[in-house]
Amino acid sequence: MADKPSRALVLYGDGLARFVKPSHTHLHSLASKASCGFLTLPNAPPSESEDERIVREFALLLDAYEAYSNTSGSTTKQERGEKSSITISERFMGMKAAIVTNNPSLKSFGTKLGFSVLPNDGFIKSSDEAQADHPVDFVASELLKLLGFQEGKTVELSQYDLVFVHVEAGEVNVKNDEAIADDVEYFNALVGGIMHIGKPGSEISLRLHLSVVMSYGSTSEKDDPNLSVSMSNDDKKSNLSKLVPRQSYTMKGEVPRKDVRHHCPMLLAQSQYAVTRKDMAETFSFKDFKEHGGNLVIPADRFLHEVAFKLWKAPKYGA
Amino acid sequence: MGHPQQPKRRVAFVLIDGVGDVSIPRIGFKTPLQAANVPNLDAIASAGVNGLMDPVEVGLGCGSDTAHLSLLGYDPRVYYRGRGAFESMGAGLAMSPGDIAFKSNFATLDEKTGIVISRRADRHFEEEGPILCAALDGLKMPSFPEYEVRVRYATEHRCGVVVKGPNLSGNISGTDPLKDNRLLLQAEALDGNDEARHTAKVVNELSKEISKILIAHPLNAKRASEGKNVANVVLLRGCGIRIEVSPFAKKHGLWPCMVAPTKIIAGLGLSLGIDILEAPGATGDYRTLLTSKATAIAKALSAPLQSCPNVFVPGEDEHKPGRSDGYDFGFLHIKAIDDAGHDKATIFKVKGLEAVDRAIGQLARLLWETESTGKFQYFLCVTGDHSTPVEYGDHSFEPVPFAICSLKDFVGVVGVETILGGLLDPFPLPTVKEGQYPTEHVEVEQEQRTKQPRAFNGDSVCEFNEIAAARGCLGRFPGGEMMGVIKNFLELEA
Repeated sequence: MADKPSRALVLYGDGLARFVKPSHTHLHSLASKASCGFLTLPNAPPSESEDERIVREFALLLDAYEAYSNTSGSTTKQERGEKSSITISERFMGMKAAIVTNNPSLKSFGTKLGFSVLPNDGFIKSSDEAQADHPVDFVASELLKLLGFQEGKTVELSQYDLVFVHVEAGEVNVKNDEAIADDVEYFNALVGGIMHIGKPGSEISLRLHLSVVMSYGSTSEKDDPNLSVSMSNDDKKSNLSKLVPRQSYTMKGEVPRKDVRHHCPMLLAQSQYAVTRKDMAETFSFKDFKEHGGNLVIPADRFLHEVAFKLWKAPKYGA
Repeated sequence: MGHPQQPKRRVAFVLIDGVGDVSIPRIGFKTPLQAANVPNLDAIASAGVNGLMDPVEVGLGCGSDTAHLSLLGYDPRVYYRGRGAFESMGAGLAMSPGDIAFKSNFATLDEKTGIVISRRADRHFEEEGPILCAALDGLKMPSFPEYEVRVRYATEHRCGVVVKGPNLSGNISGTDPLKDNRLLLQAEALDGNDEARHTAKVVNELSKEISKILIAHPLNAKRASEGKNVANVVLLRGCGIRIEVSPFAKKHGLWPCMVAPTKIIAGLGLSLGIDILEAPGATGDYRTLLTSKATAIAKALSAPLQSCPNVFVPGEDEHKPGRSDGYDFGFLHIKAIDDAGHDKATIFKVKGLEAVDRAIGQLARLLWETESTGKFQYFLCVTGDHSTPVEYGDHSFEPVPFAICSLKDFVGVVGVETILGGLLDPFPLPTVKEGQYPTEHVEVEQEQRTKQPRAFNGDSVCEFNEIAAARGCLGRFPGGEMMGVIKNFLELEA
């Protein structure tokens, strides 16, 4: 409902973006109803391990890079300000947040930020034999329960305002391309399960703010020449290119960002009934988001601020 | 500011407060802008360049004051000092940079207990309020003789209070307890600066001196004898300091004027050195006459070929003549659309946008008549200061559409005959009862919407709305870039 605080579910497919296929119909169905766009990241530091990347990019999504720097030891003591130890609840007006993940580093980082950490076991890898026939529906239902959505109704008080679900490559099976394909299948089914429970116009759809974020994982510009959010060379030649102002995603306040990776951004589709915009994108793909998305490009570290605003956990600036 | 041999380039800037929205199920998952029949707005998009604008920053739901500062090129993170001074100046109080102002109420205080019995001494204070304000205006504080105090009546039980003098801070709390039957408060510093601590002392003495004068005033003796609440205290709240900034004309090289009956916007404009035009019938609410606004801006941008409207001067009872050579940047502020958002009036927002579109047609006609003389080259720019999603009922962070074109190209889209055939009669905003227009009604009208077959000039966008704007060549940019875009466009089209 537009005039009540939303409750947010963020499904984060870490490193899964390049494996989305036309057959992943639930993802495309969501994109066709959602506001679609990109979240840009800075370049990865040299020699970054996969585990470090996972935590760093998650930290950026939470605008908690200082906390990550502190953890990773890449900053001086002077740089480790008090900001790094502020919890998500302190930053966002008492927000209650949980992260579902099996990644040990992310569990540790989430705890540090004040998230309740819930293991994927019991969610993605259901150990309950009784649920084995419908694992995805079960997971979808359990996730929504955390947000106070039960049996088609919205419970007045919810355990959490925000639930982040982190699904990384190799989550469902061992890490190889075939297994990652399984992960995307699973992810797609999970999106379908959530959308089925929160059908447009249903009581749950009025309060559930759903974000699906998919990233490319480790990248290089050379490998991904077609995945750039920069203006095309044809556009640059146009006389109109003289008019193009500095873009929102390249700025932090009034100051240009020093480090922006223009290629391989995260893909974001957001949807809530009567709360988000519906653009012209029809498929969950880089190409369609670039050609028809309505949200264009924003920095990843502003993502949570937008979500928090919809949860009524971020104040208005000014009168 | 223009070469003598070339036509002067001037911009009509239309700011539709709260224009942005989200996709609304009851109008076919369209935004109100998508659902409205707005051929003139679409023509601006079609004739020029487009983009999506984050008024201050991505993901920041902002107020009109911070957004306007940002759009006009003044970073609110640097310059914003609260709304108090903007409202006071807009209400007619003269302020210089560094002066502080309060929103104030005549109230009733129990002198023995210090409790504010009633925060509003009398809602019907139109006769007595100005008399008491005159008694307070110019009062002197024994401990702080270097400060000047100005008091001006506003409406009902309200007045504005300004303190002028050195080393003042706007970062203090007020004396207003905000509820009846609570103790009158002492002003306190809200930061650790000496200026704030000093200002709090000044304001606390001011509060006492005001009460001394009011208690001794014969009007209060008369009120007491009639059994009415006495007005023996002025509650001071919402302290704001007039910001010190480089004037708009100096910063941007364009002489600015504004039509903005909304006090906070007018006050903000005055703070930036923007002249506020007189526009009879423009009220800043649902009763407003948009034609009056369009006419005032058109005249101001057409001077000296036409006489410039008078301008509002805070602290003066009379308006003074506007700039005889006219203005280069005419800011037309429209509040009613934001009001519709706050009132959750979905269909009214749609219909109100159609009324705005009609007024833009009138503005374009008036400007085209002047452009035909060859003395001026005009540009039309339209955007919003933030989104006010109508089913949410307050401001939100979603970016707003932005479009700018030359008037010549605009006329190329809509046709000379259409422009000159448009009526200039004033018209009221539509009266809409929610439920009067079923969803189907809006959808039928949507089918009738005049679609531009293709973009006429500029980029590929041919509709003015939140979704189409994303395809514009300007991309998604922060509001602080907007004035640069406008100035570059003027240069490009020269």
